[in-house]
Amino acid sequence: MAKLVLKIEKPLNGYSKVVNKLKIDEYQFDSLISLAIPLKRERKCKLNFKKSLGEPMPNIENSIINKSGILGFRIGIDFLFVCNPSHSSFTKKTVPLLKQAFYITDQTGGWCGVRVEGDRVIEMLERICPLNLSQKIFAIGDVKRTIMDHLNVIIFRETEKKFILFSPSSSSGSFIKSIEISSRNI
Amino acid sequence: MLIDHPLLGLRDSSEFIYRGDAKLLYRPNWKSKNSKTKFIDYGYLRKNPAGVHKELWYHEQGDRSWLVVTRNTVTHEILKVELARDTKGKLK
Repeated sequence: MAKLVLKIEKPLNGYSKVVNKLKIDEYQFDSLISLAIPLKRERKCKLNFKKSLGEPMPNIENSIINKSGILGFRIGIDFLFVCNPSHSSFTKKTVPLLKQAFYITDQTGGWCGVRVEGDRVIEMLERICPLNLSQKIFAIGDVKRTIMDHLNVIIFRETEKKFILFSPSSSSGSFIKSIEISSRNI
Repeated sequence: MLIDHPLLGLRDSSEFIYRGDAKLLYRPNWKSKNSKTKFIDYGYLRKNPAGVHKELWYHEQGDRSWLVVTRNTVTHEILKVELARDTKGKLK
């Protein structure tokens, strides 16, 4: 009998396009977990976060990237996400460490990432995003959860003209379509 | 309409859901003498003022926080925004 090998399928199948000089790529990651801080355990969680990822726990709507490239961002008072692009020991070492303080939920299959990049990226995003994207308000490394074209989106600013957008994988097709249309219309 | 979230700053109201009168934060004590009347009041009766009103808003497409928004229902002017967790015991 032939040996079966399970292969992960990404929500957008490695989507990559240039539309109106804007580069739109699927941002691929190995795993995405959410961390919830148990009531009155913030101090313990802060210490644990530093121990597990080597960086201090970010403030609300801020992020960290550690030396292995793992991205951590905080959405609310007691709620964070950690995204692992490709670090191999994340699931075996980092997650069990985080579990000692946080409530953890694996959300890898629930989200898809899209990286948008280009000189006119702000113009494209302004058409679908209700946030103020000026760098004074939304600086590099900032993260916000918002709504774009009726879809729940987490937006992370990598550089002045580069963003990563996380959206539910179940509606990733609609989301990429609204990004494409918005890019065409600038 | 923009809501000035106490932690996140100005955010579009499309990120929020309106969840009704802020008195919903204060569930009556079922052991109290006239609890039946109080629960009818809590469950069904609203003042619905034309003017200043304390409302519950849920930041569903954001940080999932509950806010108490003091809003003028005639002009839509927002007078105050607080985290519901910080208003405990202050609203009555």
